Amino acid sequence: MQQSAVHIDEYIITERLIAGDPRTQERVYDHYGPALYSIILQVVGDTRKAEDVLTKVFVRVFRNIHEYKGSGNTTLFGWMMRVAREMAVQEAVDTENDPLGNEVAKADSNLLQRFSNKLPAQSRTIFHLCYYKGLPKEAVARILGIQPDEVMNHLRDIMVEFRKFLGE
Amino acid sequence: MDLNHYIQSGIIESYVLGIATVNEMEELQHMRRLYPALNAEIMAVERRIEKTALAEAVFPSPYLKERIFQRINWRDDPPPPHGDDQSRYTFINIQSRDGQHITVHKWWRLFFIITFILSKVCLFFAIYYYLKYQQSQERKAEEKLRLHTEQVVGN
Repeated sequence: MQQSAVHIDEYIITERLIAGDPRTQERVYDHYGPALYSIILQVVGDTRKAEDVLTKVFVRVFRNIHEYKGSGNTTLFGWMMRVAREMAVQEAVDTENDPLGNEVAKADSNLLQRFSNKLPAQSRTIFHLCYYKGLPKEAVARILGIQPDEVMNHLRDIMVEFRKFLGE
Repeated sequence: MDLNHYIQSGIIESYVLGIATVNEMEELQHMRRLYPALNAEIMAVERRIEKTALAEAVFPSPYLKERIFQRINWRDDPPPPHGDDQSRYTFINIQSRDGQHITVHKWWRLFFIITFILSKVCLFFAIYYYLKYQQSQERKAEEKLRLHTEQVVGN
């Protein structure tokens, strides 16, 4: 029952966003902004840059809300989360060169960091390069000196682990 | 393909986090069409992450909201009429406003060039005819002088 209630709410919110309703836009920002900011901050690691990215994310979300409706996305947050991470990775690529740099042992302050810290060293590096750096499997393989297939296999295992981790 | 095995493979989590490859995404879209139950699975994973993300949210600077909405309202004003890109530009006259400059239509340039050439042509003819006139006056004076001399000599 709760699932459908949330779904209806999201449907109404989306319709209002498409209509460009400023009050709904504010509500969406108030509700999701901090969560998205946290996701962006983990990737770019700098509050000023993270705020710039969050600005771009909301401009894109409100302007391209039809993108959410049209491309088979399920939840609004799921779509916004992917947009936020993608734009944060892009921003990080534009401003730093060393892909292995900036891999500090992050505190267990959020879900993905907690998950990442639980992984064995090589898996952690692969997850870091794929998620936080947004590198394609081939690039990860080159950096680690292994085959792209091995990266794919590792990543599959990591995602199975993540599924278990989410279920805990 | 066994649906349960597919769900357990971590493909959904990979998609939700945005790290699935293009092939994996295409495969997932194909599977979703075959098995609509997959949508509920994706939704469940997204909801679980959403719940945690909302609980572990970090608040940005309170000034950011105003900045973002200023940007959004600025972008929205005027509303985009049917994707006409031209109408989204604001034309700004950057000419100095000291009252010393005027702006005229480009046809005036042609007008000024023609006027200039015409004035040169007129000047040329004016000098040419002035010299001709002077020559003819001199010839007339010479003729007069010759007639006068002939008369004097005749008498």
